[in-house]
Amino acid sequence: MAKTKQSRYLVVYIGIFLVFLYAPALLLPIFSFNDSTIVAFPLSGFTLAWFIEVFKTEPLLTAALNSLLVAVITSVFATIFGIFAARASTRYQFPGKRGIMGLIMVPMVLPEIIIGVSLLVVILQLGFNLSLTTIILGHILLCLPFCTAILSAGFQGLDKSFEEASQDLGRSRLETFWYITLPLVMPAIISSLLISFTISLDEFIIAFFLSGTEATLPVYIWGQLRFPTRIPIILALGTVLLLVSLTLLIIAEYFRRIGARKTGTEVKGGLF
Amino acid sequence: MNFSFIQKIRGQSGLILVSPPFFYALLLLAFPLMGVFALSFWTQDYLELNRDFTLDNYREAWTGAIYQALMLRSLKISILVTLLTVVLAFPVAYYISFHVSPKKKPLWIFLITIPFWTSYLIRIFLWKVILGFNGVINGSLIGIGFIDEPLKFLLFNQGAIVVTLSHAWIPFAILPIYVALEKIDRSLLEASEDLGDGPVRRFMRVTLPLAMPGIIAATLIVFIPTIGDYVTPKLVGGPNGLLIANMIEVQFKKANNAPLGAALALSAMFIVSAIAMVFLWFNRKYLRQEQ
Amino acid sequence: MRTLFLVSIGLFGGFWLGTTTAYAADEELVIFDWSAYNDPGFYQGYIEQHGDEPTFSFFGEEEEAFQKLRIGFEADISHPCSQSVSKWHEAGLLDPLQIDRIERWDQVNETMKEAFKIDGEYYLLPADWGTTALAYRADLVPEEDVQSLHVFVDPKYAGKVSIADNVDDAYALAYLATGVSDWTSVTESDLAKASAWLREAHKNVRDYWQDGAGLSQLMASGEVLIAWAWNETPVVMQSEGHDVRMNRLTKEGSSTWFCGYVDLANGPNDDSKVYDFFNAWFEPRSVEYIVNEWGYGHGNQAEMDKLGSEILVEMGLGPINVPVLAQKPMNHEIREQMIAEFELIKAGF
Repeated sequence: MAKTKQSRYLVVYIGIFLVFLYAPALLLPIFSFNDSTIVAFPLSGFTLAWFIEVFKTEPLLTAALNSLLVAVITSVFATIFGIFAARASTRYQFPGKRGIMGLIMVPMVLPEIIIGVSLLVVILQLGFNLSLTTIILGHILLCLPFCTAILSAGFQGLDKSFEEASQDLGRSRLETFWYITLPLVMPAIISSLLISFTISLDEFIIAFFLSGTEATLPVYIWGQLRFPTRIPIILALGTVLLLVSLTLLIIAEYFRRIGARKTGTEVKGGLF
Repeated sequence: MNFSFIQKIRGQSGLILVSPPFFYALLLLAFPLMGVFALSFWTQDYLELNRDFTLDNYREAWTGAIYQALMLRSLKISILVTLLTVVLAFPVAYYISFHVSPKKKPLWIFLITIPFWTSYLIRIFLWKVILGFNGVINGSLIGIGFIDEPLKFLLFNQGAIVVTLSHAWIPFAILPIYVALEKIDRSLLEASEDLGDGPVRRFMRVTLPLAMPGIIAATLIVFIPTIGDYVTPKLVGGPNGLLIANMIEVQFKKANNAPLGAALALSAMFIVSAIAMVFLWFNRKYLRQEQ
Repeated sequence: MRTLFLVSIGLFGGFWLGTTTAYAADEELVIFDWSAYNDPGFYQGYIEQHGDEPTFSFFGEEEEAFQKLRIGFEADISHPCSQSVSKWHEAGLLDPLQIDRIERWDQVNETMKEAFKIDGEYYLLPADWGTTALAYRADLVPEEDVQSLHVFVDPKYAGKVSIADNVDDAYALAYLATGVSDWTSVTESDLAKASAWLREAHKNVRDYWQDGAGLSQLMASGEVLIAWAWNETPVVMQSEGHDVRMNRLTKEGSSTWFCGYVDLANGPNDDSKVYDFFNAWFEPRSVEYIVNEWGYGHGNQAEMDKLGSEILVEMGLGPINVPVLAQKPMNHEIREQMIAEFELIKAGF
């Protein structure tokens, strides 16, 4: 009895929470259809002009796509590095562990302006030309501590007996890691990918210092704020990105259901 | 069996495993860190750096009334944000892990992160619309006749910073807690129930301790970076909302005093790390007790 | 998940190829500029001449731009504002202008170009300028209240006031309010008086505005009734139907700021296209465009005069006969003190 009552409270809480979570996102479409350059109530009228402008403003689109590219690549590499670091720190004792893990965590503590300025010095010293690649290098560094923290939570207290059983059955260590350990930490890996993707997509100080002539979206937006007339275009772009993400999510869910029905199997446990 | 031999092997595999991320960080960070460290002992006059060793920057950073006040304000806000975020996030992570069917979990995780794929600057703009003078909240309250005059304490103060930052960081707190909860062996919970534990006791004895790695990760992920944020206080903090990160930024930019900026940044880093250590230490103690 | 992945990669890859191939700019001229200045209306002549747009790299803040250039980022042209030019020059970032290659050099605003004549060489081509003055919600603030800058410290408007979060504009206001209209010769005691005045004003401030977009939001909602604002804000807000007006004629006066193009010393390309770009900017049609579309003034004084005073007054750019504090370069020691004081004031000290 008590259980159902509790879960009812929980569901109510989740409802309220989702409203809080989506509050700004819900206003986004409202103001991107609003016929005014000023983001404030009262609304003044309906227009599609901003959406048309989005598709006419080439640098904005390019910047958005650059950002997506940077964020996808960053999240993959930061997560792979994070798996190494998290696995090492949760499973093994090794000399200098504290110092090494400390260094990996440093970018989380240092103000971004310091990281940005000094990374630019290092990267020019190493002889790189500034491009999207250099932004990715910086973002991987910035995301690494977040990925390591979240993956450590995933690797910690993993039941060793599974792995040992697998090795007893004649699987190599790599196979064991691939077939046994990885699926168990899948939630952590997905979370790490999402976190680093989100951080990279929104970061603009490091991106500013490490960018050449190809801007990412936040760098572009930061400069545009000076000019109020450009804001609704950015809101419209935000709406488009939000809608595309949600649509992709729905499509994926739809295909998953079809797939599950075809094979006639219930996908159990694990993620994806 | 030679025990130290095994330890050595273990140590080596650990080192080998950690080396890719370590060398990556070392290559990109070693120079910056040394640079910032050295800088903090120098002085700057307009554009010229004076490389004579001095502790003046640290003296100023630790004794200047304004820096003390801003540092305390920053810590207060970061701690509040962390508490609020983790407390708000836990039930959500719990719900996803225990009440959502496995097939739907990915959907939920995406649902929680997708609102954050819009630019942060834009979200702040929209927060101002929500909290502002004739914004969503004030408008609704006036509409239902609850108040006559718009409430002014919603925006441009430290409370607004806390709300905005908590919102910004909440997915980063939900995910690690969720990751930890996912790992809990459900049979343990049943076992605890079989032993006659009520839901509260079960939660305290099994769920919470096992979720601790996630809670720790969430706390650190939120607490540490919020100290360094200077955009939020600028945009929603109003006249009394400036934080230490703003001061560091100014020193590096307009004020032409990068050495003081470096000293402030390293001091902030030191304080934050110390607090994080104390927090981790308490946790270890708590977990040991539970066992 | 796999599907999601494939769908997104596909969509995104398609988009990306599409835009990158379509967007290939002329890489023989790299301009490091504010992110909205890649507006072809400003340099149509350049596009006609070379058949392509120059390449832009964007910044959102001058100090960040300065740091980036100083570390070694290479661009041919950049766009600092008057308060930064001296610093950029002293850091060795700038080449002197070859004024014989600027076709309309004699039409350029005298005061602005002379401000950066250093050792007989010119360093800044003043391109865009605007005014900073008292803006107010005319529907909510009686006109007699906005005849003096004193309104910023009037307790009647506590919590209804906004000042720019920008040391130059803020101190321009404070100097004017304390009776100084030329800050190239301010003394320590002038500075102290101005700072004391800003401390008073701080008590009334609801928020220090960061950008035009944020200020319009504040004034449109009625959160702020009185602001120390750039002229573009009232222009934009009036066109949206808000009754926001600007009074540049307060008895203490108002201020002007200006920015311009500089020839960077470490540019990756030779200068031939640099001057093509400058010359395109100074064509009459560019002048007309910036005034009408952006609400800014242009550094080409002769063409500005031709536009006629009616449009200039409407945009808040016309000549006035009260004190005008031009944000010309000033003694950097005083300026550093201003910067430090301003941070203290904003932090409540």
